Parts: sequence; C-alpha cells; structure tokens
Amino acid sequence: MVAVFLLAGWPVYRLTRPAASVVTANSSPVAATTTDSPETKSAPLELEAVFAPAPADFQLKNLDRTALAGRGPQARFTGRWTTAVPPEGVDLVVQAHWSTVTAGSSNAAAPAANPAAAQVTVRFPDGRKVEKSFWAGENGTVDEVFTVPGEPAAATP
Amino acid sequence: MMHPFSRTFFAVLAAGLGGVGLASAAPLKVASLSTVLSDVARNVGGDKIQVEELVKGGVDPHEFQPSPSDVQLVADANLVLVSGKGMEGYLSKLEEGTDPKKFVNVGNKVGNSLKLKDDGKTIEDPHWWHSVANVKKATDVVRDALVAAAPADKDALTANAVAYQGKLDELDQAIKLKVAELARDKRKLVTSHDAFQYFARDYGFKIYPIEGVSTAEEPSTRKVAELLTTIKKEGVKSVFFENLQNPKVITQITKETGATVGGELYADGLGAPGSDATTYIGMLRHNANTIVDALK
Repeated sequence: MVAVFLLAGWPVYRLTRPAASVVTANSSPVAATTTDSPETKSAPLELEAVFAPAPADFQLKNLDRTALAGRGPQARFTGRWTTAVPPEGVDLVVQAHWSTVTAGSSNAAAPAANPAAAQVTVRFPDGRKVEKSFWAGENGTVDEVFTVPGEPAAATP
Repeated sequence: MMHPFSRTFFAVLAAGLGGVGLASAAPLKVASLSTVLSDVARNVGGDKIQVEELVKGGVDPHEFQPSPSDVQLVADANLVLVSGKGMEGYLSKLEEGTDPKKFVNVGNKVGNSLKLKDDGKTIEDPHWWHSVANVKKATDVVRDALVAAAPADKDALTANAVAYQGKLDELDQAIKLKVAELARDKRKLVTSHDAFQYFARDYGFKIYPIEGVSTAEEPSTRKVAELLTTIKKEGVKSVFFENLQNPKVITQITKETGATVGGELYADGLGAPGSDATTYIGMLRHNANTIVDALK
C-alpha cells in the first residue's frame, strides 16, 4: 500500500519541488512568431513544460502554430514564444503522450499504474505567471486546452 | 409454531414472487417539457422508464402550449421534468390539474444562473443546457428524482448516470479542443435570439443577439441598425440562424455587412427526427462545429 501511494505521489512531488536546474530539450524547441493585429502588440512569453515521468513526445499549440515541442527522455522543456496576446487571451492546446504509462488499470488485482502528469507555465515579460497541471487520461495521453489570459487582473500572482 | 424449513420455504417463495413482480412492473412514466431533459432521462432511466415528450424535437419551447392530451399525459405520469428558469410560462396551470409534487424543476435545481437584461427587466437566462457542466448537474437531479420514485432501481440508475456524465465530460473536452481552433478575439457570435450566453461563458465567446431571450419578440429597427454597426466595427465574419427561426433578418444583415451566413444552430432544444441534433451530445457537437468552422 505504501508503495502504491509513493508511486501515485511521485509525479506530484516532481511537479511541485523547486527546480535545481533547467534542462532544455536536445532539439531546440520550436518557437513561433505571430503577426500583430492592429490593437494587439506581440509579447515574448517564456514557456515551461514539466513532466512526470518524461513523455514520449509533447507539443503546445496555438491555432495551427507550434509554440513548444519536444521528446523524452528529458522531463523539463523551456522556450520563448513571441505572440500577440489580445485582451481575450490565447488558448494553448496541450498534447502529450507517454508510451509506457497509463492513468489506471482495469484489473483491480494488478499493481496500480504510475499516473502521468504535466505542468505548463507561461511567464509574461512583466513578471506575470500562469500555470496549469494536467493528468493523463486512461490512454496515457493529455489533450487539453490551457487558456492564457490577456487581462493582467486574471493572471496568477 | 412454524417449522424452520417452512419459514425458509415461504421466505424464498415470497422473494421469488417479489422478483417476478419487479421484473414485470411497468416502467416509470416520465413526462418531459424539455427535449434536452427527455434525452437525459432516457440516458439515466434506460429501460426502467418510459419518456412521454410533450415538447418534441424541432418544437419551439418558447411558443409551446400544452394540449388537452398533454394535460392527460402529465396526469398519468409519475414524474414531470421541467426545464425551469421561466421557460414554461404555462407551468402553474399545468400544476393545477395534478399533484404538483411530481414536478421536478430541473433548471432551478441546477442553479448556476446567468442574469440577463431583457426588455428592461433582469431575468434568469432559461437556456442553461448550453453549458455541459449544467447538464452534468441536471443528470444528478434527474437521477435523484428517478431513484426517489423507483428506489429498487437505484443501482442501475446510478450506473447509467455515471456513464452518461462520462460522455458529457468527453463532449466538453471535444468542444474545448474544437473551439481552440478559433482565436479568442474572433469568438464573436451573432445569433437570431439570445440563447447562447451559457455557451459563451464556458467557451469564451461574446454574443450579439438579434432578438431578446424569447423567440416571441421581434427585433426593432433600431436594434438591427445597432447590430449592423457592431458587426462592421468588430469585423464579425459570419452570422447564424436557428432551427426554429425565420432567417429573414439574418439575410438582411449579411447583405448589408458582407458577413456570411455561418449556418444553422440549435438553440432551444433538440432537432427534429432526421437532423444531427436528435441527442443533446449531437446538438452541442453540431453547434460547436458549425460556429468554429464558419468563424475560422
């Protein structure tokens, strides 16, 4: 039972402990730049994606553009993404796959599978920060939407 | 004194007869004043209930008035599902003719209301089903009402509700991913009447309705003129009509603004048989796909 709790809690510990160092993906993260609309100026956003355990692959997408992407065995990825952020905000689609990890098991007698999780953090040039955690579904994937607010009042302090 | 064997024999016999009685019991009669609630009830109740739809797919609930045969269906029903939040203006008259305790005002129990200004008055927006989260709550309300009426079926009804809520979670995620194909500053929705505020709140849209909350209203010339200005100023690409509305005003707007007709949305309930909105899940998928594909 203790082992089960330790296994289940490991991703949470990994995602919440202070980072000793930042490991950047071997392949340079893909950075996209958008064209400013008349009312909206572009901002260089710092993106960070942390996984527990390391994913097979992942990407953060906005519309048809890839903002950040990478593959395991690294579990932490960073990159700069320059984009227009209107007052309505922007949506990042978070897609990640784990090849050997599933969220649960249909066999109650089997050992509990190690749950997989991702945490995405977006930092604005003015110091604002927004972040969100995602848990893998039963098929070992995350396919969700993270809304980055455009209004400073809606951001996480 | 009865022999222990006899006691056991009669107990088994009684249990067997009871089982026969349950198996052959008529399904619970559930009358519904909402096409969405009819669908929820079918998903939760399965073969344990018989749904009598007073308001059928493709019928405008704002305009619906119960007929004498509808009143009889309500009288015969064990439960009556009500959309609530002021949608059924005839409700008090319907309650007069039968036991008011069997009416389940689902929308009011769901809560989570949006307030709207309509014709100078503040009202609750009755179109609560355009929020998937609200329909998940409605599923709990319907399950509880059915279990209270048929406690013997509690396990089956509970399992059905859990399974349906899982499908609603998948629907919500699918809509979020679909809507993410559209930049948030392009999420501007011009519709025939003001029915999509819950959808707008959940998925980040701004609504510009031509009419008010009820379809019974006609848009004023002034309101149409204001809307024309807004559509041009905001650069709205497409406008939408509804399955129950006359698209005449929409056509006028597209001519004067250059916006295209984005397609038909289901606002006030499920579509008629043969449409792709004969279920709640089908209706919301249709609406989300139609909106996003037109505004992209």
